[in-house]
Amino acid sequence: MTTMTPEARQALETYLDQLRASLRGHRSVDPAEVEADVVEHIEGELSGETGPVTESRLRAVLEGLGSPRRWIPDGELPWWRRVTGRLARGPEDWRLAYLAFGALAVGLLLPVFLVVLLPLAFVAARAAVAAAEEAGEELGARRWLVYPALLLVYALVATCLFLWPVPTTLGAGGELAGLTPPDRWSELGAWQILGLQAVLATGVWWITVGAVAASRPEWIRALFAPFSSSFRSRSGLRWACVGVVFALFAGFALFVFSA
Amino acid sequence: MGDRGLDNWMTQLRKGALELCILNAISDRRLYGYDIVRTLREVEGLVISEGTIYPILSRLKKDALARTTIEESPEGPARKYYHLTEHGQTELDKMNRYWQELRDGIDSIVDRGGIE
Repeated sequence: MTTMTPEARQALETYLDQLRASLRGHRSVDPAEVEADVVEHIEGELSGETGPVTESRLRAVLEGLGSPRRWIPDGELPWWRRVTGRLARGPEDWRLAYLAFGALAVGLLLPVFLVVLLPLAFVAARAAVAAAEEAGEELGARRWLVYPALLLVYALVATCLFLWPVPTTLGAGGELAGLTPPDRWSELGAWQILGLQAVLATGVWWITVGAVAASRPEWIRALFAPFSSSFRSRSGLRWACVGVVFALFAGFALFVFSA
Repeated sequence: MGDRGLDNWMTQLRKGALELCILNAISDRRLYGYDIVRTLREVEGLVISEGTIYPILSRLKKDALARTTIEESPEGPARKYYHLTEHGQTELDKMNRYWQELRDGIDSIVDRGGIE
């Protein structure tokens, strides 16, 4: 091999490492053969040099060869190389989508890590959505990678947000039931009373949340993006109206049976 | 077509032409890899990234269109020479015929200044 300075030797080793990594797993070429040909090419280009080859001279030859990452079209790579290539070098939004899906998948397979991986998957998914919006693009195929984490977290958030009065009321009401004289609710059983109280509490809560959502629809759009992009003030009002119906129904029933 | 579109078009055109040129370069003589690169350098605009030639050579060999022989070189280590197989020559003849037909057809359209 041509004599080189230590810096040039290091640059050559780095280049050959890239070459080996780029050709790994590719069935239609022989990586060792390609490497041997490339080394012969470099020797040929530097054969006229007197004295040790400097790094700058070597880099001129390597620039003529080009980056090994671009030698083989993506479509000819094995599927796992395309995925890892996208993760390593692909557009940010595709890497974020893969990260979101991968973190969620690992978290579901290893539930002990879900408490850490689910927030990671959610943040990566929201970042992917935001990146697509900034670029003015549709999510397209990426939604299959991004939506699972978003839907799972939003389902948990929505359940807590909309239904927290139910277990709270049932739990508190259960404790209070023992203090209430039994003949006051003679027409209904204790759990039916608690159920109505839970419906009443939920209705009141939905009136509150609906009113807030009607006055600040952008909060709901931001909270449940990208699924809530069409949420408007009237959607919040409808929500509050449902709450009114629940509250009136449960309140009236409790009034009637307590009389 | 913007600059990027033009670059993409030229890249695709070069890719298709490069393999044809490599096969023709080794059809009537034996060349080692670096010699093939130097031969193709004479075609302006054909080779942008010289390294792309080596995976193509490896693939031609795997597809049995080319084979290699190792020969001692007075100038240094033994060299690996590429040349066409019979199968490669048959395929090259088909490719050259197709290229000529395509080139003639495109030239006629270009000479007329586009489709009327």
